[in-house]
Amino acid sequence: MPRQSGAFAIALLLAVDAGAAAAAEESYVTDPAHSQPSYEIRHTIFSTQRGDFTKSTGKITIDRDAKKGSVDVNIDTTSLRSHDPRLDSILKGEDYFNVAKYPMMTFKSTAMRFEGDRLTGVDGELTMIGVTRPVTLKVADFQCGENPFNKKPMCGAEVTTTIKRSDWGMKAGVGRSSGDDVKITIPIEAYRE
Amino acid sequence: MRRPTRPAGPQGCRVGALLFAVATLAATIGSAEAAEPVSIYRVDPDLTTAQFAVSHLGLSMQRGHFGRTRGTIVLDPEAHAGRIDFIVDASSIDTGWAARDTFLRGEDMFDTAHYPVVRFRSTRLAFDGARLVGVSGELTMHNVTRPVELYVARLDCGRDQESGRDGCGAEVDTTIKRSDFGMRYALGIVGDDIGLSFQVTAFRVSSDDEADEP
Repeated sequence: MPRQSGAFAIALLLAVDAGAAAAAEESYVTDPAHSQPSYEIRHTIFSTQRGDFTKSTGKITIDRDAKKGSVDVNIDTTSLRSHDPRLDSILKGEDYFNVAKYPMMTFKSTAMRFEGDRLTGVDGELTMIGVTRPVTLKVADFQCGENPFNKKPMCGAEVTTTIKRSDWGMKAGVGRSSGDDVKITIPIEAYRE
Repeated sequence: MRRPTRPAGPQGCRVGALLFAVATLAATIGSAEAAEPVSIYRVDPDLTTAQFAVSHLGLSMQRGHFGRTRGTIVLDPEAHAGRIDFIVDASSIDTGWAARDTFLRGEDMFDTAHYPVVRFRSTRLAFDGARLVGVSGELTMHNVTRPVELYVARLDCGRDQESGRDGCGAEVDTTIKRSDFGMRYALGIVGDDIGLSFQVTAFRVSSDDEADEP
């Protein structure tokens, strides 16, 4: 009897799994508190500056069978924090993010990259201070599970890329007080809708 | 090594005095030579970030930093010596989410009301040639002191063009287990391994300034 009920349970699980796979496209919304973008940039000859944006929103759709999907992220540039209070107003000012004129930074995907059935990258366009340029995001540790508290299905990942800020026309201080390369790291936690 | 036998009698006294004179001379020459290579640096809190990273739900790496740090670094690369004293204000923990910061300051985690400071004190500096590559020391956090090894991934020294001051910048990292420091709340939900990553900028000060810090 126990063996039979065990077999039944496995059959049920397989059926549920098949059911889940049939619903090909899944839609996710990022949890902003657990998905804060951060950056790292060389400053002077020997320092590295780090900072983050505390406010962002993101929508992700993914179809693992068809290996496609979309990523749409908006970052509130007014939420920039450089970890150096003296710098915040400079970075939010006209020479850098000019947040009064460009309060939003956006990333819109053009294609998703898969290795096997694992998401490993996202090609897209980053719009910053009014300039749009192509960017490829590396996606590491993409995995899904559920939140143990609210039992909601969710996925997590670590997204990284390095851009040259001068490509977006943000040239102040390049080659003098600070670097051109900006390393961006975005942890992602997103709940299934 | 055998201990030298204690000098005895008048002759021993003279030998002792001579040895003392030679030793004093050697020490004087030594300090004159050493005066240049020993550098004392003060950590610049505004240009220094103490960051941590921890796995959350096994799905993402969450990061935060401590906004207030201070410290003194003494380096003598030629003698392969020096010391580091680095202090973090635990209540300056900042994850970009006020509710989470309040929780982290609370009794279940840092308990900053009772343990306001996280402190690292070096016991030994490791050099590869003249390059500082590692620091052994003791980390005190949450009222527990444990040995910790820091890895120096980068150390650049020179003159800051903006301020004209001599200084150094370093990237230092290590991984600790928070359970080793008695911080066991929600293990399994929030990881035990804590990646620590320090971006340190420190400016050179004279030895007179060193006394009042930290």
